Amino acid sequence: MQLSQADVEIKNLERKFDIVVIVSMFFAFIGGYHIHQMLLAGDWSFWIDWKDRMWWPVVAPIADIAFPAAIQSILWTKFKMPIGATFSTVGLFFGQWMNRYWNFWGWGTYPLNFVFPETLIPQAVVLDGVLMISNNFVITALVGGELWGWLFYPANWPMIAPYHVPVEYYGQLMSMADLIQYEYIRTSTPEYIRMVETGTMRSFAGGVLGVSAFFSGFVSACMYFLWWFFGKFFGSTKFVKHSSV
Amino acid sequence: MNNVTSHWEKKIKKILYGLAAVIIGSSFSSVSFAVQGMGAKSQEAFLRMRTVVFYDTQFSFAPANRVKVGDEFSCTGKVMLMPTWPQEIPFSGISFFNFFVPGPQVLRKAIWVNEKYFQFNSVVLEKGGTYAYKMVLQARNPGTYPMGPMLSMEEAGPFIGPEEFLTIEGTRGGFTNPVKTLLGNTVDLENYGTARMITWTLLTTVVGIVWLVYWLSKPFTRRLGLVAAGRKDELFNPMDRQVCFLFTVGTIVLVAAAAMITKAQYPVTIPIQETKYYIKPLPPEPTLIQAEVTDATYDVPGRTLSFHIQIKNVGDKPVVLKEFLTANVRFLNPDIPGNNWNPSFPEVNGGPMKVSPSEPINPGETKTVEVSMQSAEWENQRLTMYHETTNRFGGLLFFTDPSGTRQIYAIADQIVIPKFGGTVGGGM
Repeated sequence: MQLSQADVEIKNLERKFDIVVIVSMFFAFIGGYHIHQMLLAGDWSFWIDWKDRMWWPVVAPIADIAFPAAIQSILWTKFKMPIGATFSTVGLFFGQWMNRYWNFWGWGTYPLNFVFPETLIPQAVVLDGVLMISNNFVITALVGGELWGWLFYPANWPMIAPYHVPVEYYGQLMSMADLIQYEYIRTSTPEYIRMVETGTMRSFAGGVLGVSAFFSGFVSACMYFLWWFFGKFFGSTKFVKHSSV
Repeated sequence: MNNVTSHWEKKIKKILYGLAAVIIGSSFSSVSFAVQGMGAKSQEAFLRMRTVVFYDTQFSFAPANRVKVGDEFSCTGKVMLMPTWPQEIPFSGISFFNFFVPGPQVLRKAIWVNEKYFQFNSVVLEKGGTYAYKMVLQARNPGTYPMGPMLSMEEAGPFIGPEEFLTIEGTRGGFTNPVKTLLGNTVDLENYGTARMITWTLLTTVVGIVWLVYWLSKPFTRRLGLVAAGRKDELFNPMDRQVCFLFTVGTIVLVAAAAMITKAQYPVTIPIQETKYYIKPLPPEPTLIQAEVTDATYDVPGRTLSFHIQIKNVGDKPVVLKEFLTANVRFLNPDIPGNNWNPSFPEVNGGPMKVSPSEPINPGETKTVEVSMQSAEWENQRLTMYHETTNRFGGLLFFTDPSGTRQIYAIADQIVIPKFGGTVGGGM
């Protein structure tokens, strides 16, 4: 009885420790991943009129696969937990929503339909699933990385489709996303830097989204390798010799 | 013990006082930001004086400077791209006519440039060209904000025109922004698509959270030791693999199904639009003045910009120099009757412009006059060029004849010699 009581206490203590570790990791990942995402995906993630069919499916997944790969590297090899990608993207999503809700909408008064973040969670679940099923990071990179790129646009299309409905405005053809960006003034982001829907990939004559997704998947797979090794390096354990302390 | 407590109390008090100072300081910073407006002064003087000059700017809400939420108002004026564009600043001509305001406190309903509707895309402008703009805006959010026209140019940056503070009264509750789509339905841009976006956001988040809860409900930290001990096979059971397979395949199916349903719901969609087009500048006005600035000085202690300008009148009426405009600061010649400052000018009043000799320049006559402008605004507006590597000034000279016909002459490439006066001590 005494032993059993001790077991319960140990389990409770262990669980509390788990919660402290998990919550700390969650917020640490939000901080790092969110900054990384803002620096690399930036405007493509902030504004509805940058969520186009050419650059957005390329830029966002390639930039965003970094942390999932690195965190998978740590949580899978050290803990055998297939949650690295989902854990990090849920954290990123949480951080992005705090930013969009408090800063963009609450402070800047931009309507949420102009500034909502894209979701990466479905792709992350699939990436975690592939790692768990294959138990092999090379297969995860090749298969999961490709799926990460391919699934990005369809995973967000349910949210962005309404913004591609056409509208006539003063004799001009616009998408709803174009109109929102035109009316809701973005002082600090000059519109002339919009590069959406311009580029040589137009030579694929309408197949631009497929090309973007394929390219995105390919580069995401390459990025996965790189960031897996980053995670491995920074997640490594170093022991200091007693004599040198 | 008491000493120790007292020591810590003092430390805590110091920290609290420090925090209070920071908070009060931040408040003052906010106030000063609001007073200064949109920060045009942070740009270099030569950039503001020699590239783009806004003039004839008018706001329909002036002089009351008050509107209600939902009211429309306009901003009109002209902008000249200086013919002598500085070599130090790249020029591609790709520009966007913008309206500066801190966030979407007002909606940009439409812009016309040279009476042509200005799209949501950029345009290509010409050096030396003059463009007339009209912006129609709608008040959206109550408050008091600085606002005005702005020209964003590729590579060169944003050029800020004269500004006014507008107070928007009322409440935003109930404000709508209806738009009719080409499919025939009317939607409110304030919340269009929001409910759908939030529904899908929540659904995908639930998938992720359930996946996390499943795994994090298992012991976590202990696994580190078990993996290190080579006992990782003990960490999974058959159900784990079934759950994993279900989530992986199920998520792919969910995404594919949702995308297909969405495609069926929105069969007509178009890509985001992008193009650039050329806008012809206004036809050049007949030039009846030939002018050349021969030298310029800036008296630092006296805060006075002076220059000599040789003016040749090639018209058939006598002309006088009426005004100098640079970087949204106006200097008016008080010797011309009626040439008084109008309080509804959105530009900054630089003060009087002394022209000597002050007599009109007759047809066919060539005369060198000295123009002198003493003003605190040279310092206030950070237009003191001796701090900059490119020590040149520019602006627009406005001449007028007895009939009131205006002629504009751009000067943009004159070097300025500072006169420091007295003994100036060391420094860098």
